[in-house]
Amino acid sequence: MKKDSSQQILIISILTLTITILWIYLSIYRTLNKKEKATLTPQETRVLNPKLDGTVFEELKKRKF
Amino acid sequence: MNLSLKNEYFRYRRYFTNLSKGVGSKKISSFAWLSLSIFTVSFFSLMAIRPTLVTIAKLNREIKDKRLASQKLQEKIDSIIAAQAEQAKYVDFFPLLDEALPGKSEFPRLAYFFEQIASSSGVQLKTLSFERIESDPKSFQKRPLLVNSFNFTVSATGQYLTLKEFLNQLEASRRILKTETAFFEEIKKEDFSELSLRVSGQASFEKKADQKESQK
Repeated sequence: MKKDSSQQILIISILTLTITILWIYLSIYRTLNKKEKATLTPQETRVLNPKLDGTVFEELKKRKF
Repeated sequence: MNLSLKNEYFRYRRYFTNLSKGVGSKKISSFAWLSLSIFTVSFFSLMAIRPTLVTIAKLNREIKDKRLASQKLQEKIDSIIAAQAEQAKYVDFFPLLDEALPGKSEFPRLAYFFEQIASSSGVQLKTLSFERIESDPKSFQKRPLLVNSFNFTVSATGQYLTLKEFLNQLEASRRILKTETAFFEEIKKEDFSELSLRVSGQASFEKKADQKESQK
């Protein structure tokens, strides 16, 4: 009877440790995969196209008025 | 009182156990210390290590996000620098853009343009009319685009070839003009007939920033 109870306490303590480790792992996983508000808006991150079509200017230059 | 307690003890003796025998046992003592150690580790892991690890993960993620944002902003800065270089390359041509798409309706200039092409092509300008443009910002609400336009109608008389030349010059204007309809008509008079050309279309102009602001 004495032996059984001490073994049971040990099993419970190991189980507690396992649950604790699992809890820590899940907390970290949740933190890393949590969807937060974006730092920059899509308008702020939109990249401008720096190319200008030079043929349009040439075409305009050819016209008189 | 003491006597009854003693009697009770003898009566329920079989339900009691002697802890000193168990505690004294080396094996049970080891189990107890091991369990206590594991409980202690679990407790401190939960109360101290978990918040620390969560904070570290949060900060790592924040650093990653900020680095990504910084990279995107750098790309935008690079594109703006490239655009500035491109703008400097074509800066001499920008007045042409103002002529093609002026900031205001500029219909007096458009009227002058029609007179110019009429005289250069040798036709006689008969009528010229422009659509009335409302200055009230409410009128712009139905036009969400950056370009506004107004309708015009011009009619001229002359020979077929000169009228055709007039039409060609009109279509080759530097200002953006959209020709919607153009039709020839023969007008019979007492002793002769003359050919008339009637053109209707749209002239565009840029919607200014203050107009866009006033819509909001």
